[in-house]
Amino acid sequence: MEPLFTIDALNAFPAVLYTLLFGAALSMLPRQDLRSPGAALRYLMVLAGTLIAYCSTNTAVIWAGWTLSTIPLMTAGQVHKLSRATIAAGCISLGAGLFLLSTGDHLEWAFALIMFAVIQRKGLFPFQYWVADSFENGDIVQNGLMCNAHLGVIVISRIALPLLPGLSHSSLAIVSNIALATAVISAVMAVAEKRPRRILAYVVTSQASSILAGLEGVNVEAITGSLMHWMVVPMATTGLLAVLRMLEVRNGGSLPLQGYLGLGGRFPRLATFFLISGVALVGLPGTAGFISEDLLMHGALQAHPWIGFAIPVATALNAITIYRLFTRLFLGARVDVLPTVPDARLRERLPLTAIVLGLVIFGVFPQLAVNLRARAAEQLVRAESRGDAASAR
Amino acid sequence: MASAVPYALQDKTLAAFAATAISAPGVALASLGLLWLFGVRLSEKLVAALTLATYVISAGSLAYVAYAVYSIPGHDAVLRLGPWFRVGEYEFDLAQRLDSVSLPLLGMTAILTGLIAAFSQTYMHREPGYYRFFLLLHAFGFGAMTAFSAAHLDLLIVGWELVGLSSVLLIAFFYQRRGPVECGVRVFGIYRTADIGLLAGVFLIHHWGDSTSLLSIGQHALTPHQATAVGLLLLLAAMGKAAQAPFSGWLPRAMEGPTPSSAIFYGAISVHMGAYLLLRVRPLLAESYFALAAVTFIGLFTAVHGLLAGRAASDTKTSLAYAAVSQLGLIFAEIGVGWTNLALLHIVGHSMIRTLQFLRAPSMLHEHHHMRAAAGGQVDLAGTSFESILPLAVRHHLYWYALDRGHLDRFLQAAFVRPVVALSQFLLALDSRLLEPVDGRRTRLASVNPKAEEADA
Repeated sequence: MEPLFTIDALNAFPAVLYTLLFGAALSMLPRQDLRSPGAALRYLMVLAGTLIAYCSTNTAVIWAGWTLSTIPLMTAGQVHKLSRATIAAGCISLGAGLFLLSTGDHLEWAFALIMFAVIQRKGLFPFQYWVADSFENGDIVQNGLMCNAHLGVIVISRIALPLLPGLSHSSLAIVSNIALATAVISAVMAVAEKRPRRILAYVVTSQASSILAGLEGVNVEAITGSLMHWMVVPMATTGLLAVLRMLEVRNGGSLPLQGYLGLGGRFPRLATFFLISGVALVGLPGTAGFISEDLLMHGALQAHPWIGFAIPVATALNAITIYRLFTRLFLGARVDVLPTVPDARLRERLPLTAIVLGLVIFGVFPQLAVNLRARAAEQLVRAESRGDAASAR
Repeated sequence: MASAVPYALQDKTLAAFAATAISAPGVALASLGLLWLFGVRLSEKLVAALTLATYVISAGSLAYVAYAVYSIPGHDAVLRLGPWFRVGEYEFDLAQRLDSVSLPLLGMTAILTGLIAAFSQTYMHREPGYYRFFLLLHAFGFGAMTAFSAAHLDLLIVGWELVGLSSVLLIAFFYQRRGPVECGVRVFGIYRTADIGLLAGVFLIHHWGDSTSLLSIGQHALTPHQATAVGLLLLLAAMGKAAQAPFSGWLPRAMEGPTPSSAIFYGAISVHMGAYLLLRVRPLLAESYFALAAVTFIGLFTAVHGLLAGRAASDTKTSLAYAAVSQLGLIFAEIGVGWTNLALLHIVGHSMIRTLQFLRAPSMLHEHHHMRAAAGGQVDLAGTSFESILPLAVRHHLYWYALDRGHLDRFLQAAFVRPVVALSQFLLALDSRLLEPVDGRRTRLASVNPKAEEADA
């Protein structure tokens, strides 16, 4: 009998990284966010569900992990009903697809339902609204971690490519194009947005969507770039969201962006963490984000020539948006609110330093990160090649 | 300007010197950054001494490398430090091109940045952001050295972006004032927009020509249309960095930063990176008459525009900024018509003189005020106004044009910013409407005041 769980090149590093990010988030979070009885449980549900989905090869267990990780969001009363319904529909769609797959009939429908679930969960256009809504009205760090689990990559790698090889290649091209369109659309949406949480939601959606664009790439470079981006986006996003949440709490609950808040004078280290995480997220040099995007674009250009336009435009807009948000939050006349609150406490500074150092070290010595993902990429290339061969037959 | 096949340097000592020259500012940046992050406070004197030592080491190493390279026939060498990272068939090579184009600019960067560091030791004394200033100066120095020595366009992007980011952060150096912060956002917007040209151009070269190496640029089998497309995209990148029309408006705004950074960024190094890019890709541009004509036209138009706008500027730094814009326009035109040696000489000479002018500007004003006071408040204006030979009506039109700086900022606002903001608001409104009807709860609409949005963007 095949084991239910496995650790291999694809999931080993993401599972460790994800667990560490959870630990970092729980350490950094303001105490008031963890004071309610169910708060820690909700975080653990997201972590457990994600790790189950990461480490399983069984379709039913992957579905169970996928669903478990979404329960905290689906039960969050403050999040809009449509957003919760979208997430629930994603779970149902994935479940239905997997059921059809197990029957062996209507494989096209099975594949379509699975891909639909991936698109919904990823917040690809037109489903980006649930990410913005969950960031704004829910627990931003928890929902950020849930979004950044990128279980779509796991579903494609573990289910779509090996079990539906004939369908995967052509259909992934459609998903890739939707992902690239989302990268540009979400970046444009962030331009006129006023609320910091939603701004970050659109930027994260935009940057994360290119992960799927690379998976369809026909070579190991694109897939390595994609898998590396899968590491970079959660790290950078966790840093950004955690700093934002710390600022909200320090600023009395909200961060109105009508003017310049000038928090950098009071919290210079938080400003530095925010800036470096933001720069990494939008792929500027000196950070791991640059490496993953470089690989992604060089590799995927062959399959999608317009990636050479979509990613530069999306990253340019996202970089402007992140810098503008940085200026609004941290620059401007100094406001001495809550003078007793320290810049970054030790329990905040250590995890943030680890995240930022990780992003910079992988950006300066990229071969370390590339080696961590290249073997998994080679496995996926082989799986895609088998799919092509099956289609040809 | 360079031999067709660069000499591949194998000498390990030389490689060590070249690597030291380029990476010294990077090591200084990393060291100072980590010390700050862990709460270690260094004295002003120590920071300045470390900075000076960094650029002395860098300049000394470069002098040795230049001596070695100039003893090679053709004065063109490539130094491969090995792959930065490698996956599948793709390899990101850390290769440096050391030739008669890069070496003068590398030397200029090391010397001028060192001089600026020495100048800033006194100028920035007891400034609250003293440490930050030097950190950003090292980031800039490392970026410029990386870009100027890059043997392929991917590596050039690394340096190019670092220079852009450090430059913007220095514009917003006095972050408690709204003006510098807003100017920084504006400059960053223009940099990033122009960078779309660089990124897209580089990836198209890679796609069509299968290599982004600057050693083989112009030898790709690109069709004239492909060469035109790539050439125009790279021209867009160069225009943004070199403040060419219609992007000229950012340069006077960038003067909000401290004077030493204005001198090094906008007088000397940063603004010339666009011209350097065009010099490097000149063989590719030569494959397209349209691209060459565009480079020449943009250059000449900017030269005249800078001259006019500078004449109507009311402060020293803005006048100097437009003088720099004008000279950069001439450099572009020189590259366009193929006078590349003259363009290189022009870059070096212009950098030196403009740095001196920017550094002298505050004390010159001070002296002028003294002179004015000594003369009883009346100082006769020197020089001749050549525009006085023009008819009055023409002069009025030119003055109106110059006063609004050619209406170029308004053009950019109308042509690019407003459409993007309008599209963004439309998409946000769709999202909001989608969420409204389900439970009757109105979501808070993002955009409330289109004019405010526009101003923000």
